[in-house]
Amino acid sequence: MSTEMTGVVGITCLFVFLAFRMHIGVALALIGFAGISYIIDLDAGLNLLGMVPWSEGSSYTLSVIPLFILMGQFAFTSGISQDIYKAVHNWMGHLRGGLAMATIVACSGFAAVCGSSLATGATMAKVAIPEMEKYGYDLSLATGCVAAGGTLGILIPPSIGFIIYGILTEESIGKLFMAGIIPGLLLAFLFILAIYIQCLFRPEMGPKAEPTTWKVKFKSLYSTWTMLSLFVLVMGGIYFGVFTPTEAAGIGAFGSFVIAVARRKLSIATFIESLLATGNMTAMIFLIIIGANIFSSFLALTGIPFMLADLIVELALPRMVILMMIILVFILLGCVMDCYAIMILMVPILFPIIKAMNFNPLWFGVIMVIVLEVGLITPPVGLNVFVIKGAVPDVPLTTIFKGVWPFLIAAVFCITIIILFPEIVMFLPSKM
Amino acid sequence: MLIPPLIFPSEHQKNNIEEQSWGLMNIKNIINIMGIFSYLLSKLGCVALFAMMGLTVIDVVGRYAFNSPILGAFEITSFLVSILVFSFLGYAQSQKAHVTVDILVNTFSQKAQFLVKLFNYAVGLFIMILISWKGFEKAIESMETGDSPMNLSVPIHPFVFFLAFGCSIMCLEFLRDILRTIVKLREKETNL
Repeated sequence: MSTEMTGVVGITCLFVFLAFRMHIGVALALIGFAGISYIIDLDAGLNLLGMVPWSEGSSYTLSVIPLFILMGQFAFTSGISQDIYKAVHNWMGHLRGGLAMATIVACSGFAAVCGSSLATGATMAKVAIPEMEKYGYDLSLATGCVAAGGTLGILIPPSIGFIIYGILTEESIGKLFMAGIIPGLLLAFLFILAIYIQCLFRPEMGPKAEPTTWKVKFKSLYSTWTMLSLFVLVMGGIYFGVFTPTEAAGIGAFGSFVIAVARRKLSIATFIESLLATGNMTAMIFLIIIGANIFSSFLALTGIPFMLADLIVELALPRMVILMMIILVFILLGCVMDCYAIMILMVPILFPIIKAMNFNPLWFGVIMVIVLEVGLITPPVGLNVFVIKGAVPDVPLTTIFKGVWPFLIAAVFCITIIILFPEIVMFLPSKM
Repeated sequence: MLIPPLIFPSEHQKNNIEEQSWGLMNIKNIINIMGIFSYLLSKLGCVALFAMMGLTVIDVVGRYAFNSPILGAFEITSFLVSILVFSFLGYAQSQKAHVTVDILVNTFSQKAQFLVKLFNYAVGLFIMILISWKGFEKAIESMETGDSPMNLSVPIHPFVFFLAFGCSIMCLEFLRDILRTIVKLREKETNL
């Protein structure tokens, strides 16, 4: 069997194992190990198994992952989402569909201190859905907008998605964060537009709430300053180079820890719970990273990523067609796999193509994150939808998926706009 | 390969249902007791995580406010990462935090689903045993050469030992999962 053939067999086996519900990290490690043992010898394979877990598992660069997850967990525990929601509620509630719009804005606000879509969706579901039910909102709109708004968590920095992409491609995490800000706001705006248009045609979907006085408006705004200043501190620090992303993550985690303590929301139990949840997620991501590293050593040995890149260059297809093909692959995988796993698995394979096609890595990263977001809310494995379902168990899944559709269209619009106008992504990072 | 005879003494497999359910109970207890390790280890991981956060903050504040960064903060952080990750591998497995894909298998018969699970856990056990074994080897090697990072006179081998230990605990968790799956399979069969 030629080396290339071994690679193809390896990749095929990988997908078979994944379809059979094997751990992604374990499957990657197994096939990487087996492949290298086959191509070189058993000792080489075993050595890799001895080396990679230590080199990845004791990496300073990777410490940015648990710290940013921890920041989001503390923000989640602090109940700050309620304040944000209340404030936006006061400002937008009197509009038609205003509460749903407020949910999107509040999600963006919470996403600014939390890098995880699932946490953003879960926390907003508990706050926003009961409120919308109270005002007689259409249930599919109410749940759909939370599911969609939650996905802003991995686009608006800090973002675990960008961190992983940055580590995989050796792009600057700081620049990726900056690149995500404007597209994140654009997507939030398009989500709001989607709500507006729906309510324009079917006003009964989102009845108006009673208007509030200016005094109440400004007073409720005041309660969100802690969170906003934390965001400014963390992102400003990265932007002006005061500290590295890892340091920013540590400071952000500490900041949201202080906020949670100050708001008296942090008991010993919730404190330990936050640490445990962070640890679990960290271990999960690291196991995938370790496995993927072993796997990509094997892939590099087979030369398949470069052959693939060469092949695609030789095909001389228009760049946009290739981009569309890549996006399609991501969407298909997004239907069946977790978004971090897709990223860790696919980026090393696709990155040579990105380089060969002269795509800007920041721009591609942003597009990829939005595409993966779409995966979070499409059936059958729309994780965010299941999180919402967990928060409101009496709403059937089909209702939520029905509510998600308009937001999917908005996301597709957003991707199109970003493809046509790369400046949206490049503006902030180019000023760094 | 790894599986039943050890755990199900053949006399229990005979018809005596009471006896058998007693056997199952016993194994369930063993499964629970085996979980203690990963549980305790996860608490250690919590300490490491919180320390990592504290260290970063003190380092940055020290650098800007007092012009005195912590010497070796970089190395200490890497050590803390290793403690965090390898103390949580087992616990994350016990909580089923690791991601799996979930479409095809749901269409299988229940027995087939159990077998697929068994196979997956066995593969996980196999790979983690190799990693633990190699980890211990690497730890002993680095103990003999006295490896230590540049800015810190702390040897790295205790941490490599910890890696191997954490991976062994994950093996234990895979073993627990295998036992648990077998028990469930048994219960299904006796109920039928």
